Amino acid sequence: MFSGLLTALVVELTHFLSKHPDFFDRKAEAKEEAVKTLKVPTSLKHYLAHVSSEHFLKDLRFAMQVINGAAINQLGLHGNSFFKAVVEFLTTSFATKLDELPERFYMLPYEDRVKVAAEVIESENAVAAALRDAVVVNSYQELATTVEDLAKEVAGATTVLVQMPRDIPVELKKEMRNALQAEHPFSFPIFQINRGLIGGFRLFVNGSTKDYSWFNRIVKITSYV
Amino acid sequence: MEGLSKLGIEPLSILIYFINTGLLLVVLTYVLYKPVMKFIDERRKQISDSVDEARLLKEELDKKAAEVAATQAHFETELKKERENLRKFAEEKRSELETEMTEVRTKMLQKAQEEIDARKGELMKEVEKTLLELMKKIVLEVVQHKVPEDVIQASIHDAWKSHKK
Repeated sequence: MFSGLLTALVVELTHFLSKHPDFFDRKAEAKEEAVKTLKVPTSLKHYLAHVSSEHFLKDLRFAMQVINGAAINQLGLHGNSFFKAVVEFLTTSFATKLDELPERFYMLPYEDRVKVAAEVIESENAVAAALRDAVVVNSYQELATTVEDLAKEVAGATTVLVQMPRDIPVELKKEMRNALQAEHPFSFPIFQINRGLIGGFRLFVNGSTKDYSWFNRIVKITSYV
Repeated sequence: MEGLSKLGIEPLSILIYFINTGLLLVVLTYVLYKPVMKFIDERRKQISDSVDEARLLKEELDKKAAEVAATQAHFETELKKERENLRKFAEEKRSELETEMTEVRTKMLQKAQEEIDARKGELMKEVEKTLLELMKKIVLEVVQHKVPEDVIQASIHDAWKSHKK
């Protein structure tokens, strides 16, 4: 999943820099202005506007290594600005897009998945295409696990899992995701359907559980009687 | 004498008669009277001896009877005493046995009661557990299949509000 996205990002960034050879020599305001035309997520625009050329080259080398199949956990990426920007994008904008996908998206035929993915991720650029491809080819669990692993490696993110009896509206999902991310930065809350909960939801954060489910209430009530 | 002669009785005959009678008396006395008297005396003596012996025997018998009576009385007293002791012993034993039996019965009853209570407790717990399981199953069955979709959605909203607080 990452190789496609990273390739797209690297292509976009290098293409942009080739168009702006004096980019790193510019002042901060000029950089901020220039990156507005760049077709990459906001967090990466911000990254490029603030990174030095030396660091950028170093990060570019890391990105190329990952693209070529190097294991993320062996590169020492903790705190890396580029990957942090990627994680920020994946855990916010991309996660929101994933939440917008219908519950039965991953059960649809390939052609239908492509169609739905195109409706949700509308942008016409290499990054959007890579993301669409990732969404269509991988399952939600695969995507979530990959993003979570990267977030843990790069930013030491916590594991957040939300179990619910039914799929919830996108707005509520977004609200929950934002609130949980504010509480646990760089985390990628995974939403999971568990019909056995009946009502409410269950929240797992790094092994600890907060159970607001009806199932839990029923079990408690029947235990107290 | 002439008169006796007229009658045909001679004085000599009379004398001879007297002599005969005397002789007869002497002979009878020595031959019959004395042995008879001797026999009678012997018999009397024998009877007297027998009577004395009988008297002695009676006295002895009376003495023996008195001794027997005394012994009997003594034995009776002893027996009575023994019987009384035995009765007391039996009473004590009965009392001890009764006490022991009461204790054993109390212990058995207590143990039985404890076992009954324990079993009752276990049964109550089992019944309670079964009832709770049943209740849980019923509640879960009802709740899982009968709750409308909007109520479930509302429950998630409410739970989220609770979490935010």
